[in-house]
Amino acid sequence: MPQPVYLNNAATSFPKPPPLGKEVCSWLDALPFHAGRSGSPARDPLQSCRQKLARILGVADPARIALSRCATESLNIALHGLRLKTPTVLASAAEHNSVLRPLFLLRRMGRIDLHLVPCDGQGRVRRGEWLRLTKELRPALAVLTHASNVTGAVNPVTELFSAVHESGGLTLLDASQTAGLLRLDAGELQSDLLAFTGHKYLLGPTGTGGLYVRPGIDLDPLLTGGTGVRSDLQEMPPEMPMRLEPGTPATPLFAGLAACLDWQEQHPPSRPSMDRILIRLEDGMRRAGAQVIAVSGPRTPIISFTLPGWETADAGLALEKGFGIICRAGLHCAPLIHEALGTLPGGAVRFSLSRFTTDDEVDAAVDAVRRMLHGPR
Amino acid sequence: MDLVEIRELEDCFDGGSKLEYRFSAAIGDEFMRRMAAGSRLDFFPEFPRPFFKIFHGNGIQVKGVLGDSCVEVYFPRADMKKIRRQFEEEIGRLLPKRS
Repeated sequence: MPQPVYLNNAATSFPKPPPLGKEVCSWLDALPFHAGRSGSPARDPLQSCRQKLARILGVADPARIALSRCATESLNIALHGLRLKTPTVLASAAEHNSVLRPLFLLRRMGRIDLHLVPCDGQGRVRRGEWLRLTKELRPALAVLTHASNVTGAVNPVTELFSAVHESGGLTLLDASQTAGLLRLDAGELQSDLLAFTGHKYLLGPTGTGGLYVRPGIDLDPLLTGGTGVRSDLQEMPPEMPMRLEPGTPATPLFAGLAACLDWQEQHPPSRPSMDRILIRLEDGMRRAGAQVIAVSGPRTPIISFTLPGWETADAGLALEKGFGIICRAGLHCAPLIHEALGTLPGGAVRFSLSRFTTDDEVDAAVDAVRRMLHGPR
Repeated sequence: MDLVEIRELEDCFDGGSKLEYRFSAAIGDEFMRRMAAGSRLDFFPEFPRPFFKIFHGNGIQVKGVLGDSCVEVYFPRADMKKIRRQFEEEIGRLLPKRS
């Protein structure tokens, strides 16, 4: 069996940068530390991580970034914590369940009226419909994924969120698929809140994520508890980020994420190289006979497809177990997008690349698909 | 060879369920063919690890690769409890006996 080929980076990135393991272990072996509680290390890894994240997100004040376990937690903090002027909320059919499920729960609790804007056949939100509904409904909040985790199609966030602002609403961007991959600037993107994860294209460990909250927005905390300071208060302190960060933080993991961000700054990914490998994969897949979901315009390094004669789940299993091509098959936790893509009920197989993916790896994936469809060479 | 673990993977759109059955040893050609006796077998021996899918008459589908220690099994919604129990009894009879 040849070496496994990892093409599931939209789920979590692999491999990780060299400093990650060493940095996490050094903090696990060090005297415990939590800023404001005890100890006085030379540097506060949480603060250091927050500063680096602020640079990546184009945020002036690092204190406006609350650290969390993952994007799902960040999105829940935002969606449950906002005090909306009206119950009207707009989102898209391209959203991940980390957005949809909190929204469906809030709807069942009677706290919001939810309106979902459909996608086109590439997985991009229908721009005209979004703008029309924004004008007509004047939502108090609009939530949108920066890029589809199924097709990689990047949404024109600045335009879509500008329209929401013009109608008086707030905006929440799910940047899970783009942080570390695309240049982000929360202000330019018109994002009042921005949720991200550390373990995908920021290359950090699982268990890390965060939420940017624009100055002037006050969220009710989703969780409450100890903060190490202001212990006399009955409720969470008003100051960010501690307002949204109760409990003991995962210091070693965020120290590791900070090391990954440093490494990434010193070794910036080559987008032309990634794009070239993505096109090589896409061309090869089409030649092999895969039905690739075509995406034009800005996109992340994802190819989703189905294989004639193969059920999607079987294709994913055969690729992974039969050929060692580690990928993802099914609905990808984004169930609503598949209607527009025409991939119900089974969903699609997804190959998602990273800066580390090589020509040989994508060639191995194409060869596996070709053999599944046409037999041995 | 023993059945050592059964793990739920996911529920399916049609109301069925998918479970993973893990055995104490790798699945070989003989065990696969015993599982497939009287059923349709799609077999891809040319893959680096040969892939198989067995379609039982009662709607159960068993998928895996030779050399691996687990299979994925799909159970249709209708009579799920009953056919799952029957499948597990059958698997117990088919497992290669320890020498």
